[in-house]
Amino acid sequence: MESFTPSTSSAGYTEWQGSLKVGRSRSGHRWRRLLWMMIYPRRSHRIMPTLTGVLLIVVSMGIGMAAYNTANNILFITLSLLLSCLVLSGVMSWLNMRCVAWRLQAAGPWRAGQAQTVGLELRNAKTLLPTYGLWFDIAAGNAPGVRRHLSMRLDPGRETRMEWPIVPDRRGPLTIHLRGVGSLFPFGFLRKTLASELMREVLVWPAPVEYRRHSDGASWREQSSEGRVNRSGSGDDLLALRRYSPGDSPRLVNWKASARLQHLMVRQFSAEGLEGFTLWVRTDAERWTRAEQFELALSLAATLAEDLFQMERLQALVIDNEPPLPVRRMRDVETFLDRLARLETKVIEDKGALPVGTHGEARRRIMVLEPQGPRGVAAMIDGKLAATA
Amino acid sequence: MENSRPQLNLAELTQVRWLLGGLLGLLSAWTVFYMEVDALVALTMLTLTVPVFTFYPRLSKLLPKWAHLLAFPLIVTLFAFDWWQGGEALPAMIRLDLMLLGYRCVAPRGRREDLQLILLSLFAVVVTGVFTVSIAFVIQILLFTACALSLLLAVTISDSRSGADGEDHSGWDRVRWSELSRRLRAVSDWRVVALGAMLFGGVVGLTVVLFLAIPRFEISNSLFIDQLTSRKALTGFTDNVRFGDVTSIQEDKSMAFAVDVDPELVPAEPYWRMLVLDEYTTDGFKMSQGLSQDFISASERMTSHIGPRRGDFSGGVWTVFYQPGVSRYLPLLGAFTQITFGEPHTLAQNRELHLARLANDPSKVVGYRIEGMDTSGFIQDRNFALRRAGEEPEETWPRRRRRHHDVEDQVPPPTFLNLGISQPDDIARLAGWVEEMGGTREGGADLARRAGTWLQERHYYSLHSSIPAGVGDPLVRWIASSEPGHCELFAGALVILARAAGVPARLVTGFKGGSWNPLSGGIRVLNSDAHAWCEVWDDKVASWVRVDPTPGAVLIASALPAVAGSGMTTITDDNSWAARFDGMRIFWYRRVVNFDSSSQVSLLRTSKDVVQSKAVEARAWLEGTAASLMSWLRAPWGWTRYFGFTTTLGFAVGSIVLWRKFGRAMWLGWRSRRAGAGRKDPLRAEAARWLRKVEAAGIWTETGCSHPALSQVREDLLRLRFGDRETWPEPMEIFRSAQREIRNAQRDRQNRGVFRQT
Repeated sequence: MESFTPSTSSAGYTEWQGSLKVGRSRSGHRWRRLLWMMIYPRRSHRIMPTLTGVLLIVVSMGIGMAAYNTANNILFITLSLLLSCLVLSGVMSWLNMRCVAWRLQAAGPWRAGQAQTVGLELRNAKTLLPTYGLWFDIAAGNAPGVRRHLSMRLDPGRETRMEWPIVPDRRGPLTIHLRGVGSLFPFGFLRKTLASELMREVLVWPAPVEYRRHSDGASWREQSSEGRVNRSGSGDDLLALRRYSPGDSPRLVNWKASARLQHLMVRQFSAEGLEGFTLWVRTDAERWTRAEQFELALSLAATLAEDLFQMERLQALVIDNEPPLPVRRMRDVETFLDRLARLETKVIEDKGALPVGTHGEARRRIMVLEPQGPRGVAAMIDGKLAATA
Repeated sequence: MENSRPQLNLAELTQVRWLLGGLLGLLSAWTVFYMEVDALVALTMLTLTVPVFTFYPRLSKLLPKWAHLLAFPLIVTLFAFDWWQGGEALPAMIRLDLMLLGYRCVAPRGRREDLQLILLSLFAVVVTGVFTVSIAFVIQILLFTACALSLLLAVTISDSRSGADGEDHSGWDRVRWSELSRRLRAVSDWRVVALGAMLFGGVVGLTVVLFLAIPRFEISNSLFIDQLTSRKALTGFTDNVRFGDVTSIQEDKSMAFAVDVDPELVPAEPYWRMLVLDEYTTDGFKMSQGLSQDFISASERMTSHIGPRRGDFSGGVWTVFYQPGVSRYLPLLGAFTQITFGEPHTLAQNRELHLARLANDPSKVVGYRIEGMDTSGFIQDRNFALRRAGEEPEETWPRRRRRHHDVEDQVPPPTFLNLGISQPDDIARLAGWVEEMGGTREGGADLARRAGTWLQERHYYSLHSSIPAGVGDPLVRWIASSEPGHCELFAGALVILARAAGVPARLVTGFKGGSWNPLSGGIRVLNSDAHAWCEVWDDKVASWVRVDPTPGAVLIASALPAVAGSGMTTITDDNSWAARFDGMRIFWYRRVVNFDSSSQVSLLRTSKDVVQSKAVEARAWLEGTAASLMSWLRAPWGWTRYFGFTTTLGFAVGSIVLWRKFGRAMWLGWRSRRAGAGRKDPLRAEAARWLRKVEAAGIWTETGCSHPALSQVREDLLRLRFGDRETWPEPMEIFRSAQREIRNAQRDRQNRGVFRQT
């Protein structure tokens, strides 16, 4: 059996795996390999007898002993027939799994504590025989595998899709692993399992949390017209030109500027709105002495970042002393969430300076997260309490 | 993508399981009909209830819970009582199996219960097969296998269905069989069904191969299943034969035994001796106690036993397949040197009578091979000859017998002269008849000839004969009358006439003649060939001479040639359907039931010989062909030969070129047009094959191929493979260019490799 030629991975799909017809090049080579596989199967291929199979073997042994003990040919016929049935079972099982391929799809976004669907696409590339009764064990991380059976017959040349709801319990990288494919087909004598190396790593963002927004202070409110700013948006006024980034609409390309500067430039329009916030996440170990409080802080940061982006009030995102990441589109927030998914506390020597603006000016309306009590986390805007979780 | 055919839901699968389970239970239970086990009640109940419950599955839900709770204890109690009452384990176990089968067929079943049903059915089929060794076992086990495998398949598919999404099978008991059969037809693909049938044929073939190849060696001769029950012969060849018993056997037209033998060795009129009866009573003849005690049993069960004709292996090999229900006495033509059974048996022999019997009436076909059998019709008995000559007094006989055979009993040996008639009138009448036929003049055979002729003149033969009422001995009354008689009456009359004349005589029962079965290539002897005749001591030849006074038979054995391969006067060809079926049965017994390690070795040798002879033939053919070709080439080449050779060569090359140029394209195009939209298009398949070759020939990256011409070919092939038919380029041209570009690409890669190396 051979793997399918890897296909381009897209939309969260892995490559196709499975088995297809044994090589078509040279018949001698094919038969030799087939025979060798029957004598010495691959390590990852396991064939174990089920209870029915054990029963069949025990009955066969009993009949065999009786046959040898009595030299009775009726018993020898029965023994031969039972052994033939065992061989037939193996052949039909092999035919059932032949030319069947599968691939995983694990598309995001993944958030801790929220169910996400892992899809498995199954293809029967045989020309005549349908496929029955396969099962697939899929595991997320170190959790025990979840088994799903192929409930319906899969006719030749057809595809089907199976889905697993998976709830990641924590943020961070998560490996979705197809651990094995198995079948009891056709008679339930043998449990045939193929170990699979098919896996896909996804990044689980921090779990969203409910937080209390403190609107009694002035932190969220606009104090004056100074709070209203022009920021990038979908207005009519041209705000600036910037370099083209993948995903930008071609209609925004400024061709004159692009020709002059020898690289693509796009127009950025302004939209008047409320002044945004800069969300600053600090990971110094001295501040976050409790792991669960740190996790809560990251969850709050992720939730605030998404909410503020929705409100179009997220200006920049900062992690520790790194340069601020200006937020222009959802992808910037997702990049920030990806970072949050991998963040750990660390010892930081220079905790001092507040993030500065593009031109070095001091940023206003910086939202920082601070521990509150033994378990809680507070979000402070310019030193004023804005939200707690 | 949706499947092309519908699928059975879980309820329908459960209905299929229910149907298969009922069928399996019935099939396996009915095999018990072939056994001589009294299970009529259980079988009848099962036959009546299981079809009803199978057809109306809702009935199974009507059984109350307590019935399920009580079922198993009740069945076990019945089994224990049955065993205790009958004292035989096997019949009780068969009845237990039937009860359990019946319960499993009518109660709702899950996976575990289905497996139990299969095991119970296997037990019934195998035990019946072992017990009957019938050819019907082949059909039974094949039907069982097909049914059991289908049931297991349905169970596995059901389990995967219920394991997948917990599909419910409620409502399965409300089955509409016509709807289910329609659904089954709809979900079935005839090609898959045909493949399944082929696979099943493969299983049968593999079974045959395994059966032939499994190494045979016997661990020990120990307990076997036929010892768990006792059996009685169905017909009347026992130690005590009353008048009419043999005639009643003659009404049975079934086969008694078959004999596999070289036809050249078959005597003109074979008399298969089974029993010698010496004691006459008014009811008939029986084996006297003294004669019966002369049967010396082997000390243990053995496959091979030495006969009275020691060391003489002339007479060929006779293989007999003896049917059950005939007798425990084996049919033999005379003394033999060695008898070998397929399975170990305890054989008792009477070396003076040249008879052999088994310990019990066989419950299945017994196959045995006899070597060195005397077919002359003369029974040599040296001890009796010594006693007749007065060289050994009668009174020394028991002592000598005791010394030789360790026999405790003091019963005197038979003299074969006791009339068994006490009425003086009857004795006087017998003496008068002997006087009438001329008395003893030239020995026993001469008297027997005259007595036989005398009897045949007074009576004619009829199966429906009767003894006239009256006083005195019945046989004497019959002799005195002119009533017709059957073989027992003729033989019995001759025995008492000979004894009345002072000639030792005895009645023999067995079979006479048989028919030649062309299909099996052996003799087929029916129960209707049962016969009675007598043996008369002739002092002149100092042996027992076979005498058959029944009208139509040759009276004296000496009148027949000893071995008459060229003139089997009574053995005729039988081409009836019964004979053909018996031929199959004999094949079954000969090639399957009696297959052993020696057969295995013989098979291997035969296979080796066949392969060697075929190889020799093939080699000879090749050498001959090469020689004729060479001689043809070496022959002088004239213009005619040149012309013929060139024309033939040109025609062959032209055909190939034309085929490659046009023929193949036309063939593929025709098939492609015939294929239509729904079937696999051969041109698309051909394109797929070329696509694989093209992709393997080049190095493909995101920007294209290392060999640019291949990219264009690939695009064309992709259009052929997946595109609309209207957009297709000329297919054969594309295939040719694919071949050309693949070759170029390979050449380029080779050149690059050479360049790199240099």
